[in-house]
Formats: sequence, structure tokens, C-alpha cells
Amino acid sequence: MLWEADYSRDIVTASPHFIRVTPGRCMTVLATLGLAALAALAIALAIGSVALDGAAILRALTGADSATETAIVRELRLPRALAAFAVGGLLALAGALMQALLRNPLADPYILGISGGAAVGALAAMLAGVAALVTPGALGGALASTLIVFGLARTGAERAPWTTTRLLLTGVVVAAGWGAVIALLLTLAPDAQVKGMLFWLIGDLGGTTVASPALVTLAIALAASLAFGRDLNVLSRGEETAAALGVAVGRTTAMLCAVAALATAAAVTTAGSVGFVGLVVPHGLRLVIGNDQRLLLPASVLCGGTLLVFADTLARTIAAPIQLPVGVITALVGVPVLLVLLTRIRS
Amino acid sequence: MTAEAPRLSCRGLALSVAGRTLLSNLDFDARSGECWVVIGPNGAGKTTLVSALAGLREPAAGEIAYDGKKISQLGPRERARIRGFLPQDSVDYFPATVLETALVGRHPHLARWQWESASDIDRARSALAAFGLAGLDGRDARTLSGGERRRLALAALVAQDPALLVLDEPSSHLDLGQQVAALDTLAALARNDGRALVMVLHDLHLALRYADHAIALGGGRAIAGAAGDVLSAPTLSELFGHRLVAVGDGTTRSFLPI
Repeated sequence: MLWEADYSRDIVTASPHFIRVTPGRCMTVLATLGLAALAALAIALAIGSVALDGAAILRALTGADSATETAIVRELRLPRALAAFAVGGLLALAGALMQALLRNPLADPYILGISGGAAVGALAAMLAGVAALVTPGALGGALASTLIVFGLARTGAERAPWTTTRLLLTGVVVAAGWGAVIALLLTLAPDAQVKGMLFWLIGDLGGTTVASPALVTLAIALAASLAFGRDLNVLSRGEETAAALGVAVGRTTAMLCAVAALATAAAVTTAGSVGFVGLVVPHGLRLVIGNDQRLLLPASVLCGGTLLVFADTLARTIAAPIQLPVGVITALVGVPVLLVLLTRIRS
Repeated sequence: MTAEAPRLSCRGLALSVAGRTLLSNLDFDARSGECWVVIGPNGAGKTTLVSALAGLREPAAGEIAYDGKKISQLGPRERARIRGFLPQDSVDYFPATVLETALVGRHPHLARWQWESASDIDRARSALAAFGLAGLDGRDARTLSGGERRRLALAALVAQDPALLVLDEPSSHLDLGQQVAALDTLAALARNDGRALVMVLHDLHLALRYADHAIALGGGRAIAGAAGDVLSAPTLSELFGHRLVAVGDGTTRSFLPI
């Protein structure tokens, strides 16, 4: 063969520092991240106006403690921490899915206006006073935004992938459109509701009492995405390559878009529009663990959940007794990260 | 003539892009062991033709069959187990190691929840070695040179283990020595392994060297046949709109522009 000399040169061990993702590696990474998530939840349960140690938390969880502490842990802190975990996981999952499907590391439900669409749907239902319509409204808004973004992505010449500029501009425009509708809804809203709505818009877990709908949605969305993990790996290399390798591109993309929209809608109905989790988490993880979606998706869920539990614990304690909306914390972290990423990405 | 169905059978194929007819009524059979080369001037529709042959683009008319099965009746996954396709260019949007990239070729052979097995990895490694990429397993594919990335794409295609290989300019980005080595490897897959090749080649000398059959595409029509008939001075002169004369013989046969 003619190539003998070609590969004798030094092998540069550029990142990623591994050859491929195996089930064993998945287990190691996910177990580590799972422990981190448990630690974050434990801290969230311990910290607050009433500080609790580990033994007290365990007693409260098992209902063996005094009524006050049991109530604090089981009715206030635990639902809120679990909701934070679910919201972080949902947003990170939605971000990871969108990044793979749009083949752009800057895709994120908040930046692309998907959260905005969900917020409009949910706010409209709240204003109409029909609580039962909040979730379907959010889902409808998220799906409408997703259709706009992905629909535009397909009209490009030769279905070329989006340039970062076009992606971000579209996101800005779509988000601005939803922003106008939100402003209109806020104007129409009775004064008493406005502060609550604003908090919710920035992303706030203060009023959360139930975590189970978000957790169940997270489990369903993760399982559905994982079933298509290898298809996503192939899709993230381009639609033509994926089609040639036997992926039903149109159907799979539509299905996974719907999962991303559902995840965004569930996150938004639980906590409002929390930004940047979907951007920062998958992007950062990809640098460390690679782009194999079979690991990246569940790792994003655990890492996004952990991050939001920390962020929310910080939000409710840093300026106590004032509770900050958690979206303020994620934006304070996310905006600089996004700016750094923008300077690094090759156009 | 063998009794078995052709690897690729094309009947009455017509292709058009934006109202312009690229070709109509193309019939040919690419059989096991054959190497078909598509030649033609820029913009003649070579890429459109191979992507239609790969089943990735709907033809305006006509029918394509793999191993005797009409592709309209095959799902995308079944097609991918028979036919591999190398696009003209590929972009790496995300980081991936060389081995991961080659393993992508195994996708159509794995069940939904199945992971790549040791035999998949062996297959990917030997495909990498066949294209001179042994020992680069852990490299980020985005740090490779243009020629290495092209060979990596070829290795992923070979790891897919298709009976029919459809390639759009496999020799692009490769230097002269690499072109010959890569095409030798591909030709051996057809001649020794019973696969069929259909590939676009830009270079007439390479076409002459590797084609046993050829499709000349240009001016809204296509001629398919044995290489000796299609790759002739009169046909090529007409195709490229410039007079060519044949020189040399056997492996030194070539065409010179006058």
C-alpha cells in the first residue's frame, strides 16, 4: 500500500480523550453524574431559613420527625428541588436534541424562541382563567415555535445546515415576536397578576408544589429520545448521510422535534422560561464526553438537573429572605458562556 | 451473463432538476464484480444521477432495483443494508473520533438498542486500515487533513459492508498516489468480493483505468454501456465539447485534447 509513511507521524491526542463510548463508560459517567445530582438534592433539602443536617433530612423524609420539619422538607423543599431537577433535565434534553437536529451547538429552546412560544400559550391560558389549558397551551406554543424554526431551516438552499448567524437571528426574531405578544398579554392582565407573571416569565420555582408532572414528562421524553440515540448520532452528521445509512430522516426529525417541544413546554409550565440551561449543559458536556447521543442525552439530563437544583438553591438563599427567580441565576451564568462560545465558533 | 439479479438495475430512468431534463430513458444493469464510472461535464447532473441511483432522490420516471428488489418497496434501512453511498462532501459538525466515525457505517446493521459489537469494531478497524488510517482510532476527525477525512468517509462506507457502492467523486481531496490506492481498494471490492461499484470520476485517466462500464452524461441525455464503447474519442469529444484523440493502449490508454 502507498500509505505506510502517512500515519507514522505522531498521533495527536486531541480531545475527546477516548476512542468511543461503550455501555460501561456510559454507566461510569452516568453513575458519577447521578451521585452529583443526589448531592445537589441533599444540599437543596438542607439549606434554607431552617438549616437541617443529614440525619434531620432523613427523619423528615421518613416522616419520623416533628411536624414542622417534615412539612418543610416534604411539602416545600423536596417538591421544589425535584421540580428544579426536572426542569433542568427537560431543558438540557431539549437543547441537546435541538443541537443535534439543527447540527448547531448554539441551538437552545430559550434562544430559539421555543420557550417564548410556550410562555405565550401558557400565559394566554392563565389570563383566560382556564387552568386546564395551561399545559396544552404551552405545548401548542412550543410546537408552533419549533415548526417555525425547523420549517425555516428546511427552506435553505440544498437543505444546507444553518449558519450560526442565521440560526441566532431567527431565534432573536422569533423570540422578539413572542416578546411582543407577552407584553400585550401583560398589559391586558389585571395588576394583581402582573408581578407573579413577570416572575414566572423570568423563570421561577417559588410557587412549585408538585414535581411529578415534570418528572414523568422528563422520563418519557428521555426514553423516547434514547430509543433514537444512534439515529441522532447519524442525523448529527447531516441529513444526506443519515438517509444513506437508513434513517427515516423526515419522520425521525419530526418525532424528535415534537419531543423537544414537549420537554420545553413541560419545563415552561413548571418554572417559566428558564434560559441557557439547554445551551450550556449539552455544549459543555460534549467537550468532555463527546457527541455520542446515547451518553450525551442522559448525561445532559442529569447535569442539567443538578445545575438547576444548585441554581435554585442559590436563588432562594443568596438574598434571603428575598427569593430570586432562578432564571436570573442561569442567565448570569449562561450569558457569559454564550458570549465566549460565540467568539470561539468558526463560522 | 450470470443468473443472479443485478446488484443495481435501472429501467427507464428520467431525471430533471427545476424543469431541466438531465436524462431520460436510462437503462442499465450493474452486476456483481462490475465497476461503472459516470463521466460528464460540470453541471451535467452526475451528482443528481448517483443520488437517484442511491435511492436518495425521487426520479421523474423509471424504476431502480437492488438485487432484484424494487427500491420503492424497500424501507430506508433495508436499502442501507444493500447500498452504501459516499456523498461528494461531508462536514463534521460535532467532535467525533476516527473510530466512532467509521463505526457510523454499522448503523443499518444494528438493532434499535444494540451497541456496536467487537465484530463491528473489527470491521471498522480493518476498513480504516484498508484506507491507511490504522492507528488513528482516537483522533478527533476534525483534526485530520482533507485527504485523511476523505479516506475516513470511504472507510465508513466500506465498514457499512454494502453489496452496491455508489460513490460521488471518491477521489476528491486525494493526491495522485492516494487516488490510485483508494480506487485500487474499491475496485478490489468489486472484482474480488462480488460487489458492484457505481462512481462519478472527474478524471478521464482514472475513469479509463478503473471502468469496465461507463455512463456518459451530458446535454440532457445519458449513454450507458461497456467502457470500450462509451469511453471513445467521438463520444467524449461530443460530451465535453472539445475534440479529443485516443492515444496509447491498455493501461497507458488516454485521451488528449487537440
